[in-house]
Amino acid sequence: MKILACKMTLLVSVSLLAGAIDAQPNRAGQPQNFDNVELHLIPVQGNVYLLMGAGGNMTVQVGSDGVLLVDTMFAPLAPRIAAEIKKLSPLPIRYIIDTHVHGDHVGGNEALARMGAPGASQTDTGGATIIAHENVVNRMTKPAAAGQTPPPTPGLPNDEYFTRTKDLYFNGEPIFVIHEPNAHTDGDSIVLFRRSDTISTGDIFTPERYPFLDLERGGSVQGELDALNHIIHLTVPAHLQEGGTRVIPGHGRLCDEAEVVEYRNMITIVRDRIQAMIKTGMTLEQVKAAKPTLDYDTQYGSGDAFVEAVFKSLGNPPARSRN
Amino acid sequence: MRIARLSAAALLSAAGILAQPPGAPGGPPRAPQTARAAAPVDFTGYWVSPVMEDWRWRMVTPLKGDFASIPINRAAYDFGMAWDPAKDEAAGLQCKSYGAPAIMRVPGRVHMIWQDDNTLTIEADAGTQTRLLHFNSKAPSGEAPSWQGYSEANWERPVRGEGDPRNDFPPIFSTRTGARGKSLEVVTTHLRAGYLRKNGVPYSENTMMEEFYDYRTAPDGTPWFTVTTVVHDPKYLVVPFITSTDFKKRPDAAGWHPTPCSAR
Repeated sequence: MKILACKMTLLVSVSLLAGAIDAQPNRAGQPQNFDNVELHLIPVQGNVYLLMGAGGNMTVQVGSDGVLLVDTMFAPLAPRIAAEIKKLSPLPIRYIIDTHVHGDHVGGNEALARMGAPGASQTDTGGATIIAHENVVNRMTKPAAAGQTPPPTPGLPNDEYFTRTKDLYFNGEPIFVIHEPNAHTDGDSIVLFRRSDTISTGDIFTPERYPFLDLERGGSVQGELDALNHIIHLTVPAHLQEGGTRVIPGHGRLCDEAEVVEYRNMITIVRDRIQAMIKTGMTLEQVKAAKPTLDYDTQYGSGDAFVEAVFKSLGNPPARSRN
Repeated sequence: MRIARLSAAALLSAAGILAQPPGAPGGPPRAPQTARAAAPVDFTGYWVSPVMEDWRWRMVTPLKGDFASIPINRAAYDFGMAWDPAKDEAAGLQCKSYGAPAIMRVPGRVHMIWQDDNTLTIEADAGTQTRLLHFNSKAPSGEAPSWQGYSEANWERPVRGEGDPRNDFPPIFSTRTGARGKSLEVVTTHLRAGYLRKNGVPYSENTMMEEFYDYRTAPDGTPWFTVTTVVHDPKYLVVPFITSTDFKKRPDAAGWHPTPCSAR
């Protein structure tokens, strides 16, 4: 009982902290002490590694062409991230792929790109190519005053895409960058490494906490479910549903398909409960008071923010963003 | 002449009526059929429940506090956190997780057989439990609460054009849309309070449970049924708890192993 309570408190604390970080887009160099952050480089399979530390998980793909990163954590960690990458390959970082706009995933863009070299085509800065969906670029770009050129945004993606998918061939394997509309945000990308059989999901999938549906930036519960269903469609489990395609979540442990299924089921069940309550005329306050996530809170922490987001998302779904 | 015409018309009309099959619209009422005779499909025999989902809650006893997927309220949460299997054993309540709202989800086999023309029996080897599905019958007043409660059953009538044409009526019993005429509806009340999950997630004596048994045949010819269970419990659930559980027909009693209830 006591242990469980402690675990819950920890989960809640972590969730709140991560939620607060997530809610701050593109603010590299937060006033946060990174000195004690431990970086852990974990082999996934094939050419792909998982780098865990502060902020979102990073994916590192290495080979004879150079280094490709998915997400970049926070700017102050960039030198140490680079040192970890050097353990795998002496070659330069050629590509960075941003899964979405939040600062704990794009904070190191500028510093890490500067250490690298361009991918297939030259970049303005001469550094690595940064790929993201156009909605990420739009949200990272500050509106300019009338008649003036907007100021440059550090770490801004320089190779945005606006189609459903973008693909490239790097380090001997096809890599698909796939837009998942209106899920965690309106600019989410998942990254499929076809030969290494690994998918980086960004914050669409965070197995140790409820999803943060960033409604202000175009997120929605239906888009979140659509994206998770697509990830499940792309993953293939091995014997007894274990292993097979590996899934690198936005935060938390390395997973496989079964864990994505579990997560998708949880969101579907909670969505249906809240939908049923809305149909009976319950207000947001009444739905929150009913605690429709209570059975899952021991696993994912406090569900209050998630419940509120689902309630609002069901009542006011966003127009589907272009893909 | 006029009288003769009328008589002829009356005779033709009467002949027309008589030509209608019994029970058809406009025809004479049929004698009431027994439930067994009216069965649109045959549920009798041995069935096994392949565990294709929720393995971690069904194949092992979950840890205390693992309530995921059950829409519990705070009272249920507190009740579940106080779960103590040793106390249940000491009180002779090992069967709390084998009541009707849980039994179809417990891994094992069921044997379905007609006890009489209007009572279908479901025997479960897990916990050695027996359910009685009563057709054409209401719960007697004073019915005592029990693990399996009192179950009232109805066949879903086929929609027009489906199944036996003699049963070509609108689905007058069913409240569901899209009924295919191969389904059994059951409503269970008079339940003794028990557990929805073995780790102490409670349901109360106020629980009402609906079930829909849908029969189908797989491409290889094997019969299956899926039972959709809807548990309503205003005391412990914030919304109804819905599950669907699959059963596959077995040719005989092989694998039928009745076991006593276990609290752990």
